[in-house]
Amino acid sequence: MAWIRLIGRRDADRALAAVYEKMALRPMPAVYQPPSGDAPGIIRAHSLDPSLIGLVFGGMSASLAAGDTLAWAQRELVNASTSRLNQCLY
Amino acid sequence: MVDRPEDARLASPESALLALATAVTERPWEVTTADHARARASGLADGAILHAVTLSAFFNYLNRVADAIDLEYDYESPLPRPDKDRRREPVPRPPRALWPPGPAFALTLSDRTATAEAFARWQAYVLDRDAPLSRRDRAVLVRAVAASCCDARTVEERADASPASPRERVLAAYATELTVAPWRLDVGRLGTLRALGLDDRGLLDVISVSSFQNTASRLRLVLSG
Repeated sequence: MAWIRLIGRRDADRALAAVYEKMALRPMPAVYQPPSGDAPGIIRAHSLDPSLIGLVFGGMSASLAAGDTLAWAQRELVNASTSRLNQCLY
Repeated sequence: MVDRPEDARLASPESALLALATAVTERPWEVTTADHARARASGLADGAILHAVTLSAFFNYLNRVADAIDLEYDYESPLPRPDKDRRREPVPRPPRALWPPGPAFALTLSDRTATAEAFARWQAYVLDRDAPLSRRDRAVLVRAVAASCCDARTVEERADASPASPRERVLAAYATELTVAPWRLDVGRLGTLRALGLDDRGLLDVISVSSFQNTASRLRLVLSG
């Protein structure tokens, strides 16, 4: 259980549900979809501030997933390396 | 490969990407034009180098948010889950006199227009607000993170945001720990923030400001403008 309150799809109010819906429409590898069917944990981590979700994932993250300067596998190499160096599972 | 980069048998561009992620994450204050030259020599174009630097800086945000709240791993992977060594020491920081005076690479985020605009919107939202945290609280967090990243320019700009009260010292101490050793965070650390009267929404504000600045200081150390 996370150390702060996280709100999943089931308990989301209208504003948060709309943000989750919008994030779910982004192109995303199937491997990033949690088997639970809920919003990914790193997005739910921001659930107490729905506006922030759009800026972090709809804005910054989406812009970094776009373009062809790095192939998907190369992006994953950078992402996974960074997480490993930080000893983080995400 | 990620665990033992020294053993990797990689094509040169992939080695360079790993080196960039390592430098941005662990020692952004030591990045120099020589790192840029090595990445170019591997065959990476400047656009790819800029992309890699920005991605790594951004994942330094995501990692810290996940660690700060002990986020459960919620997607499937065929790979074994790596162990976390909570006793691992952070990379030592150099004394202030050795902090880099300016950016390392002659690359600018504005060359990725959509990313630059997204970053600016994110920054404005995180820093230019009065609640739950005050602007002063945000400045204290930003300065503490920048100091832990050896980001001299941001520290100078926030010279008036040195912690000046017990509350601000708690905020700065949390931001420092989140920056230098996020793998060490435990629920007790959040307890020190709750003792300031912050609720979960306030805690998320502390975490998001401090984690954002981990991205911002890394970008500022490596990229121009």
